Amino acid sequence: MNEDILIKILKIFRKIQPAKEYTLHSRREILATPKISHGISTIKMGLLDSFKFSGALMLASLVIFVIFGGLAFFNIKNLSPIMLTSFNDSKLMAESGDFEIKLQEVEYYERSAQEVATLFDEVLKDEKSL
Amino acid sequence: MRNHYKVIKIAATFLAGVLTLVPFFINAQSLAKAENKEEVLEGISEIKVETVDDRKAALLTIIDLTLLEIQDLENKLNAFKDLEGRYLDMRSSFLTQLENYTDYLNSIKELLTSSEFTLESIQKLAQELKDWRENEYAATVKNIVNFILSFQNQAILKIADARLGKISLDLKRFKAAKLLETGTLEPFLVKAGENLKKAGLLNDETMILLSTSTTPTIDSVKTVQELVWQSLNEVKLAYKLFFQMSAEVKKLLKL
Repeated sequence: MNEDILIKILKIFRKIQPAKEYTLHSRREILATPKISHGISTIKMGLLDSFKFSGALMLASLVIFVIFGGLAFFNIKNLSPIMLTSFNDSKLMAESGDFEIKLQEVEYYERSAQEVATLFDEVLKDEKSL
Repeated sequence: MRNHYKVIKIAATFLAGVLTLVPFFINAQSLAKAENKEEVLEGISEIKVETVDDRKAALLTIIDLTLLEIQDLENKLNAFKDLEGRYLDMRSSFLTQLENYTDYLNSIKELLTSSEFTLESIQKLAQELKDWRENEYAATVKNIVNFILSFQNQAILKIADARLGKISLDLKRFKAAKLLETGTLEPFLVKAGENLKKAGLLNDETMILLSTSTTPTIDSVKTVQELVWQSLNEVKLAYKLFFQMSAEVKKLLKL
């Protein structure tokens, strides 16, 4: 007896459906929700963000490099094949300049002795305008 | 687009920071430069001496210059790391002499800054300092400069010999690769080699003279100086030839 009643109730429930307005409203709500994606575009955005700061530093470093004469590094003359050989003028100049400096050092002490002797003579001169 | 602006903004901030700090470094460098002996010597001829105070200031300048020279010589002597035996003793002796000179000059400096002077007393002190500089100091400096120059000359010779070796190797390579005819360049190379050989022999003579000297100071000062100068002059001639070769190579390679 009880079973018959239950079966009847269930059959009635099967026929229950949501109101048409509710169905339309819910569908609209669901379609309006933004999609959460874990695709390639998300990874791309993440990478772009992480390179943002290093990119800024690189740009600043490049500007500093250029300001402090970095462009001279790219002088076309430096690309000449002669620069790769032992006839590199700047290297020859640096080496020959080194012993020129050493010779100048001897000359300095000779000049110093003369200049200082002249100043001593001035100090030892009789005073006129005191 | 917004990202680009952000990057430029960060870069500009970083750049502004660096550029703000630059003048401080430049100032520090120029101050350090003003304390070298060459600059002080340049200013010496401009000093006007009329009053007792001018004489006092002139003597202080001479003392400061001499102290800078001593400091420079000490630095150069201490820069030699592999000295042995007699050369090591000579350096120690020179350093002791320079230390004594520093003490002497500082005592005079103190006297000048703490005492009152008459024309007579300042001139008496000036005469004492002049005699010391011309008789004692000048001879020691000459010995030390020759000692330093002899060792520096050894280093210069090593570099010049290495350069000769590299040039010789490059000429062989050019010849092997049939890049250019090296016939016109070879006489330069031979002559430069002779110059460097002569420079080496002169330096050997200098070193023998330094090592056989019986006292810590160099007896035959003139001879040592002459030998070092002749040796350096031979190196100079070799480099002149290297430059001529460089110009010739460029001409031959049509560079």
